Amino acid sequence: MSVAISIENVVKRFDKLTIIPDLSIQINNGEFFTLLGPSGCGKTTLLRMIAGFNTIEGGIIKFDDSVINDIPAHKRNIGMVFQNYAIFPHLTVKENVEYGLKLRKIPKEEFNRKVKAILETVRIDDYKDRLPDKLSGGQQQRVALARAIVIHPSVLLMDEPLSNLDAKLRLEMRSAIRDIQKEVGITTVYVTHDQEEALAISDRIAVMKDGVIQQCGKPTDIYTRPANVFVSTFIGSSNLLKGRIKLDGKSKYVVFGDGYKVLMDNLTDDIKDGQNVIISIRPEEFSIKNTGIKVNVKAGTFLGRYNNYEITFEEDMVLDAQLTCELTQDLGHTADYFKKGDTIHIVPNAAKINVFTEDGEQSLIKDVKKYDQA
Amino acid sequence: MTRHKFKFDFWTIVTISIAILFAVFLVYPLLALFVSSFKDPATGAVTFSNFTKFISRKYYYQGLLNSFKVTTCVTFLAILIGAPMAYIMTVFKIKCKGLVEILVIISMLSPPFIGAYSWVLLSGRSGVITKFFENTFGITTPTIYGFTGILLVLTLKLYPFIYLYVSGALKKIDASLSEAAESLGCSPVKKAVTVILPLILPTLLAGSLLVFMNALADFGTPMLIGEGYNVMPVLIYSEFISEVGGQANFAAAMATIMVIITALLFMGQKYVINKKSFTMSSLRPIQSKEIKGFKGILAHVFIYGVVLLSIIPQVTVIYTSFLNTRGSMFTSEFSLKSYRTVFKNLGNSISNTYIFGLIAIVLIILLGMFIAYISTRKRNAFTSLIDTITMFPYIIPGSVLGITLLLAFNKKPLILSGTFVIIIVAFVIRRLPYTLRSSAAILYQISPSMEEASISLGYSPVRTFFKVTAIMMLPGVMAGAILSWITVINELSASVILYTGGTRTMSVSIYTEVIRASYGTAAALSTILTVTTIISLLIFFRLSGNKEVSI
Repeated sequence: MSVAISIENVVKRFDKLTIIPDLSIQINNGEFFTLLGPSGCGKTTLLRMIAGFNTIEGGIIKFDDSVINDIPAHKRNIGMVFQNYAIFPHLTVKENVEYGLKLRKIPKEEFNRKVKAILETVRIDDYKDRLPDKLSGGQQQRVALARAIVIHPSVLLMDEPLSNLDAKLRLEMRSAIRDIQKEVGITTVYVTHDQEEALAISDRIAVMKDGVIQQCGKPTDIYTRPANVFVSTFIGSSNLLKGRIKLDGKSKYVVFGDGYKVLMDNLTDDIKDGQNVIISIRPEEFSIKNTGIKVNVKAGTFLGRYNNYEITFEEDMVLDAQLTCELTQDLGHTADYFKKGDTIHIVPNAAKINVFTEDGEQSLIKDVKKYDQA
Repeated sequence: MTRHKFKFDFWTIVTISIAILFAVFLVYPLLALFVSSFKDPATGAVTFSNFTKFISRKYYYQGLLNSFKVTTCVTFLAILIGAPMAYIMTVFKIKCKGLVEILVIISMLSPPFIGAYSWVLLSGRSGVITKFFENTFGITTPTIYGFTGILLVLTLKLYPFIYLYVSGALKKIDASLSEAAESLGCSPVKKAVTVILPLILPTLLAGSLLVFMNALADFGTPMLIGEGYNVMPVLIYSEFISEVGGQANFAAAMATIMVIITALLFMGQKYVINKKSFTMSSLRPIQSKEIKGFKGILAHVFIYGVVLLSIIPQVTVIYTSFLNTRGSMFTSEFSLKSYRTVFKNLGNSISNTYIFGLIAIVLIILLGMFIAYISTRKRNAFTSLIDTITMFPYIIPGSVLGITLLLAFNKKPLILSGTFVIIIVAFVIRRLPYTLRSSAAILYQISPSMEEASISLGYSPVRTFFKVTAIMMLPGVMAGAILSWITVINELSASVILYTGGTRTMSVSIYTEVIRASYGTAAALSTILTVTTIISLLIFFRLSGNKEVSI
């Protein structure tokens, strides 16, 4: 029942405004695929194009081999879960779940069996005769999920389904959604602006900005090997520092503003000596040592498992766009806290840091893929 | 790509049908009215003579001046009564608050001409109060006829608009604003003037304009109690009725002047609401406080006094309906004679009211839901235009609408004059806005994703409308529909022009009975009408779950 989705050179315009200029992705059958990006990046627009609620101004969208551009939304056989749940308030939980199934000519026995099974799967069996306003947000979202899945849709579309829940419920529902999706094995397109949620839940993530895919790949790749500066700062936080390439025989180095240099073994081959680069280092990719780059502690925040410091570099090493630099101190094996005004030395971990071209558009690390079909 | 493909779907058909209905029954008659106001009655040539006649003869332009005079006074009095009343009721604990509010709403929704007629019963030439003062003290009370009477009746009928508007605005003011003012050292009076008043001012203005328009358009009151104090609606009516044909063009010209004035007022009101109002949402509305001592007594006397005055007409009418009559005089013993007469001679006006009313209300509900839907969910230039046209009834006084419909449909190709159809058309056009506004309001609260959820589950947009949207809209639609219903059965100013012997309704019959000085039957009919109104209101309160009426 589940299908693969091909999005080929799709264009979305509202009047004169172009939201999506030209976008292509392949979503595999049974995959949990997440569209992630800041608000206004076009992720919901794209989802609604797949659903049929937005028109397609150019390109095609295919479910397996059939083009769906001109199929009206109600004939696309999609299941959709909305940000505000969109549970019908005048129907009970069970009636909500049965609503879509009623249209499909199914023998009574099978009908009842399906409804019962899904109510159990999403664990709302106990509330089946209640009206939705008697349910909590999490329960309502379970109803919405059951209602969408029970019709055995070709694809499941979810538009920020967890953003109206509180933090604890969000975690709980996150794993529930993940488990149910794997159990049912249905192609799922999930929209969120929450990067942590995206990392936790997805098989693959497409990071979008201004209607353009910045990177598409597995969560671990996106976090550890971002394809450009935008991704490296949007997913998690990164310190962006000015740097320069230095070639010395076979050895390749990145040199920091204060002259500190790091030997790198994973840079691409087309780099040139003296080339200006952006070095992107996550707060946890520094270690505190006796020598290295000299920084001042501006403020410290104790967070239990680790300390988070706001630091300033002595020299003009930081990219202008970077307002504050951060350093994480793992507290698993040390109790040496630093305080405001302390001067410490830090060393970046060469295996982990990322290097980008001066314009921030391209990674200079070997084998970083902008688009990974997995 | 299939872009801009014209689809002949359900909503397109609905939109076009509604557009045709409005074109035939509203736009065409109005245009016909404007055109005829520029026609010479004798030759049919284009002329300004109808307008120059109006401006040059004192008898006519005095009517307009009278209208403005009485309307301005009514508006000021309504503000002076309604605004303090709303403030007191919000800020202080008033005993029997719920009852007071219901009585205020009842006095607002009952037809003003009943008020006019019962004040005539009370303090007219042979009224109870007049006689009492004459016989006991030998004092001649000031006459109720003319300017004073119109002012009294309309003020008591219209102050509830101000009261409801201002109470609504006060409910939206968060208590913290008031507390902030106090913490900054404001005295209670200074607080009311510098913080609360500016916040409710736009609402107060909008309410005042509404009162102004209602007072300006009212026909029944000045007709019954005005006695020669001519105002515009009465002038238009009498010019039109006296010599249909000859003076129709002149009546049309006066109607045109009226419509232009009300249109300007309406736009003013819209402007105030859109541009000047603050968006406020209170998490913690102002809590009413105990009020004790002299101030407490004063507040209660004021509130109860106003409510008593405004409910007196209803009580008088109901009481007198059970009195025996001799000619046009009431005697002191009780009797059901008036009711027997009503059912014998005027029974058809009762059944007409309910039958026409029910047909009208069904049409109003259907049109209201459909128009609300297309103008909120299928927004485009065309549906916006329809939405604007449905506002017209706000600016067309009832008597003017009656005349336009009669002028347009008393000749081929569509002869409707004298039929019940034309009455129902007038009902629907005049009272649709209540249902339409409340339907649109609830539709704005229903997330479009409800419909999308249904569509994604396989229901076509049309089936989705009937299975989800319509059902979810129902509470709002019904709340508006009951207001439409109440105002339909109380409608006088258009039906008094459109009725014939077989199509008279209760309010028309009350009017004609009063004119014939047959007060007993008028009282009995009024009682039936008032009781119907009150029962409908109670259903409304039950349905809407609170005691608020938004007009």
